Amino acid sequence: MRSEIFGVILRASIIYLYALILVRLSGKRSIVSLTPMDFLVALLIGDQFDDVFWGQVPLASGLTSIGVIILLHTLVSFLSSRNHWFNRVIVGCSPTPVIHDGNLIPAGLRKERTNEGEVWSELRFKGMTDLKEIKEGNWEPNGRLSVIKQEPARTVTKEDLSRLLETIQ
Amino acid sequence: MDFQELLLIAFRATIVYLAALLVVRILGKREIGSVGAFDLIVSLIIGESVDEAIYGDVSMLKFFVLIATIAAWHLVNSWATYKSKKLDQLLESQPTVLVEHGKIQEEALASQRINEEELYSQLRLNGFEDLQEVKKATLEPSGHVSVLQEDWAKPVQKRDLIRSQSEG
Repeated sequence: MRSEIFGVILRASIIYLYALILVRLSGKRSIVSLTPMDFLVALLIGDQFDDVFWGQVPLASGLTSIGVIILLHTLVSFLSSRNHWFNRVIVGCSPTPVIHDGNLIPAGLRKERTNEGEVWSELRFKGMTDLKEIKEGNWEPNGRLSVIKQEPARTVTKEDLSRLLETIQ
Repeated sequence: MDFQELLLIAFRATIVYLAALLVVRILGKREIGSVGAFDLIVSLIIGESVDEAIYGDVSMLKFFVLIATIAAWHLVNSWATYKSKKLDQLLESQPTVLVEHGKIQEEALASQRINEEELYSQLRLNGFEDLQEVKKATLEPSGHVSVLQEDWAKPVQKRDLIRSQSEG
């Protein structure tokens, strides 16, 4: 029994340090920047840890399997950062236009399997209630709506002010 | 399956829940609740190991030893990165400047494995369309991209109006 307890401590310690090193090497900072695939990979490896802790799977097998999954995933994200085609086709991380010049784009909404209600919800978070104020709205890979406003709806900048002053003088 | 066995499962589930609650309380919300990718993994490690304990495949003692070990390492980790700057740089990510004065820093993007499309996506989410307006875009340790505007692109503040009033 005592050696079993000791085994759990040892395996847990090794797994902890191993996971720490792997996450650091993968370069992922936070769950804010996680893609859907990152999240799935986290679940995939998370599910393997417990089998190793309890000794249902040999330590070496667990470490190999977890290491290979992270290695593959890092390779895929490396390729997608270097190659435009790979990113679009394999990873599928590209923005979908859903608003253009104040009009909703039904095809974009269909592609993202979302509806008008969700667009309005995102707009309310940005404090906007008028579609006409929007030049471009994209559904970004992280699942949020980005909004570029029409020129007249933008805030006055310092440049605008100094230009105005010049015309007055 | 008899009633007693179900009661036992309910009892074990209660203990496991309380133990998990205790661990989260001891570690503090910054450790488990924060947005770090590794914190997510640690949460998953703890979450995944409970089912064997609940169904009785593994003794409660072993379960306690396991989460105590993981929690202890996590405490040591956060304490060590707090104490040593070098270790912090090694384990936690430092902020990386992605755009400076409207120019994309190609090397920084490559080192962080961010493609230009992702960068533009982040800029759009911050409401920026024109790269020239960006004085500095930084990938923060939290994973967010922060954007500072060039001075001329900043919104007018009350003091600008007051200044221009006194000038002319």
